Amino acid sequence: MRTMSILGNFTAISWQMLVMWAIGAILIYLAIVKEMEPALLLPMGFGAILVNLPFSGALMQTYAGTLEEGVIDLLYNVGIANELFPLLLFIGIGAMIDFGPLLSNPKMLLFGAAAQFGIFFTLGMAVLLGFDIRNAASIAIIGAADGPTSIFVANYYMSRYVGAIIVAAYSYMALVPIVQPPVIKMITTKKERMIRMPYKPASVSKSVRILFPIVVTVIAGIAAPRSVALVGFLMFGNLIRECGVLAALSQTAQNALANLITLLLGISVAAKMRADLFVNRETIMILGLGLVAFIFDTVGGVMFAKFLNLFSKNKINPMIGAAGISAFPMSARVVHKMGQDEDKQNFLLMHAVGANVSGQIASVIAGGMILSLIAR
Amino acid sequence: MFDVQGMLATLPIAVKGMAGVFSVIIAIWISIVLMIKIFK
Repeated sequence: MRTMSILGNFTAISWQMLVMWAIGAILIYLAIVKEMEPALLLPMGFGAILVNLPFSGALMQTYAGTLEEGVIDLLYNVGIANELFPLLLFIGIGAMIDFGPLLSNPKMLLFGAAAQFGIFFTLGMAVLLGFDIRNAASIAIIGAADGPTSIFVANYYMSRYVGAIIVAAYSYMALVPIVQPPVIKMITTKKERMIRMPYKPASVSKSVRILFPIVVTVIAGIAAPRSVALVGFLMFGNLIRECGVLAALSQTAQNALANLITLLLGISVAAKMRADLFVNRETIMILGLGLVAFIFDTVGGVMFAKFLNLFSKNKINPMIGAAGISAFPMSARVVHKMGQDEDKQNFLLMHAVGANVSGQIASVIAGGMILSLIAR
Repeated sequence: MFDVQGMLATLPIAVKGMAGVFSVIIAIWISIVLMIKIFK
């Protein structure tokens, strides 16, 4: 009887499950060998294998006529379906971000806004390819280059493609050093890439650092009330960091909280990586659209910098615009390195970091705008 | 096969979305400049 059962399990393995095992193995490989977003890709890769075993007890199954809830479903329902994990993760991320380079050079904020162009461009492309508006919005938000925002928005619209969207979002964030340079080179000249930008930061007092997260929350909350949970939790984390009296909480948010939520988030996402939900034509389209979103984010940022240069006496290196995406700090590093490749004496890092942290705020605001403009 | 009309219908959303992001960002920019001036 037991032998029959094991044989039954073995014959229940479908080719789609094998594809998911392979995808899980690739994610684990990328996490360990290439060190690409390992904190997320490794749990997701393992989870992809865990939920695609025949009759996996990690998912809801009926055993002898009784419905049993699996632990992955449970984690998904208590942490992702109600948007709790991404919001808690935002407290940790907010506590990690030093907005100093942005506060001392606030002009960089504009590039964060411009580099959200890919989100809205991809929205149209996804609809063109046949996705309904809610799923298109969920896919487009991959362009936020921000995992928690992608999870929050995709889940808000109850997208059935959450798994593919999260895999695409985190994969492209890790691939920023490969995706952005050719796009930047294609739309800039060598002369533009060699533009030097002197760094003259304004001094920023502690009062400004403390007031900043509160002011951002109020402004974003008034402009896009639906974004206030996202922005508010990000800024709450930053306030803990900057207030100066909650060092232990700040450390906990940056380390223990962020690590714990990341761990649970990665494995919980596997609930949406079941073969029947994942192995289909739409997943390939979502991966393609995610790439489109990142490319047009970069294009939006760079072209906006070029546009500003038409009116500006002090020219901006247009590559700075590309750092306006939320993928921190990879994007800033990419831009700085590209600047140094053209001119060893060109130091763009601090400008790029300013644009990059601006992208973190702007991506969350863009997510809030999407939620405000497209009904659930 | 391609939903061109649907795509065109997203244009106002895209314009409003980008305008909204820029509006909020510019408001934050102005507030930072004011805060820096007030709390030197």
